[in-house]
Amino acid sequence: MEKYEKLEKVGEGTYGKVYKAREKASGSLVALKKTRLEMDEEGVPPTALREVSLLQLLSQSIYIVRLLSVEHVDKVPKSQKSSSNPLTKPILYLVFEYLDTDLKKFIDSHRKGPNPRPLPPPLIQSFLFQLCKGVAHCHSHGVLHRDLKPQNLLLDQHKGILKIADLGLGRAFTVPLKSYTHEIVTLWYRAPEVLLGSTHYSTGVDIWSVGCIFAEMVRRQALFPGDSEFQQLIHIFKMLGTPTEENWPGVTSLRDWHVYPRWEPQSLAKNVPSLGPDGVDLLSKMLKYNPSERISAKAALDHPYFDSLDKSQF
Amino acid sequence: MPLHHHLFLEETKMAHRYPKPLLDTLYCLEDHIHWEEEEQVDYNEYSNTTTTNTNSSNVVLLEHDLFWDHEELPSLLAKEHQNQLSNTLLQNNLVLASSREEAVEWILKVNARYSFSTLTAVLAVNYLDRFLFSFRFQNDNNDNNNNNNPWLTQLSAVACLSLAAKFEETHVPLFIDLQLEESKYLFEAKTVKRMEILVLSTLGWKMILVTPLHS
Repeated sequence: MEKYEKLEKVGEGTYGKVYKAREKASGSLVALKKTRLEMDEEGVPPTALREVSLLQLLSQSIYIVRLLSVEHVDKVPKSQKSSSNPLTKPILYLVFEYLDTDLKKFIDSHRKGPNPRPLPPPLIQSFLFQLCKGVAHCHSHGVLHRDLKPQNLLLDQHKGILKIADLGLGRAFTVPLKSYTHEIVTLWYRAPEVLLGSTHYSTGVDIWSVGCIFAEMVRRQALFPGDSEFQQLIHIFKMLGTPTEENWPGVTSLRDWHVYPRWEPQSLAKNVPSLGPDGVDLLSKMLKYNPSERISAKAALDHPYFDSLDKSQF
Repeated sequence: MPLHHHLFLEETKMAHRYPKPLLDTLYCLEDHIHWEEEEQVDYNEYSNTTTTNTNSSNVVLLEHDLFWDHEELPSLLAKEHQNQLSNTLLQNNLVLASSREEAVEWILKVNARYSFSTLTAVLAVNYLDRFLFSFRFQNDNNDNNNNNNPWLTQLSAVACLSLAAKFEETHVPLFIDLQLEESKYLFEAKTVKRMEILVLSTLGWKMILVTPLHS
């Protein structure tokens, strides 16, 4: 870690603090994600293990944040530096390329502050295209992200680049699918099949999150801002209608299904009023109740919504 | 519909027949894997008698599988190349081969005790073999005489199974609980922790493996 000069703390990842730092030799900026291994007496946290392994696999894509190196450091606490046999504290640093902001901060800067204004439609198009590219790359390598949200999408504002970060909850998926942990994905971006207790879920959970993020870029506020799992479902059902066995076969058999009020679907277009018909169509395909009917990230890249985008830049 | 269903079953069976170089080096797992494959076939036969929903799900899997095919295969091949192993190590060192065999048997017992998936066992044995190969290679270069410690192989096995479980399972037992299965050695948590870091750095954190279970 002598190679890096810490500049400032910039946030918290899934399992540790994140610092902006400079690599002394090259002068380039990096992000250091720190994990104190002593906090977990059971060795390397699964989140760190998965993130590093998955990033090793995925970082060839320019739409995934690049992991530059993994540094293991035995830090000697100051109080013991004079001791002849100091108890070291092992720390793990993941060294990433540095990007200056994330999508949440970017959206907030367009909603609050001195100059509130919509995100330019071509920029939304570009960011969404890059997000779908990144998600398609993950899925084609058998990886679910499982925690897509604006805070995990890093931006280079100057270059208009978007990259997916924080694969701490990501994991490789296998066929046949098997039970995965239920407690994943920030509530607002959580797919209904997860909220209803399905543990056999797949790539559709990431697509649902992408749809929520797409709507949020247009509206500059969250589409389904629930503060509990029950409220999250109510938000979804009130807008999209309560799911039925007709539009989602098997839904009433999911573990956490109850009897819900029978809401009729609202017009999706009314909830994203500045979005054109192609955008509304793509969004509706991302927010299908039945996961098997949800559009894939790869298919989304070919949707007419992106026809007016100059794809040669990607 | 019947045609699609039939194709899905045929494809699944064919996938299991493809030879995998990796399996040649996991002879201790051979019987276990064959049993799993038989169980897999039984599951597919059972699916013939289940509801339309299951058939629909199978069809969806088929379509999804075909959809990704032309990108997924190069990805799988690239992963597999990283994980190829050498048999020379074991052929030239009978003492190590013996302690490795004990370690593999131990991994399988613990795997069964905690009902871990077969993939977890395959991952753990792969990590162990890659680590022993790399570790042995380093020691050969250094002409070190301490490289036949059987406790070191067992400690490596504990670390490798822990890492595999952390990667693949949803619930991972404590280091101490992981070692409930009978063994000559019992390692402290801090020792296993150190070994985990050594294994990870030795393997370059490349912990994702291609197995028949991914096919």
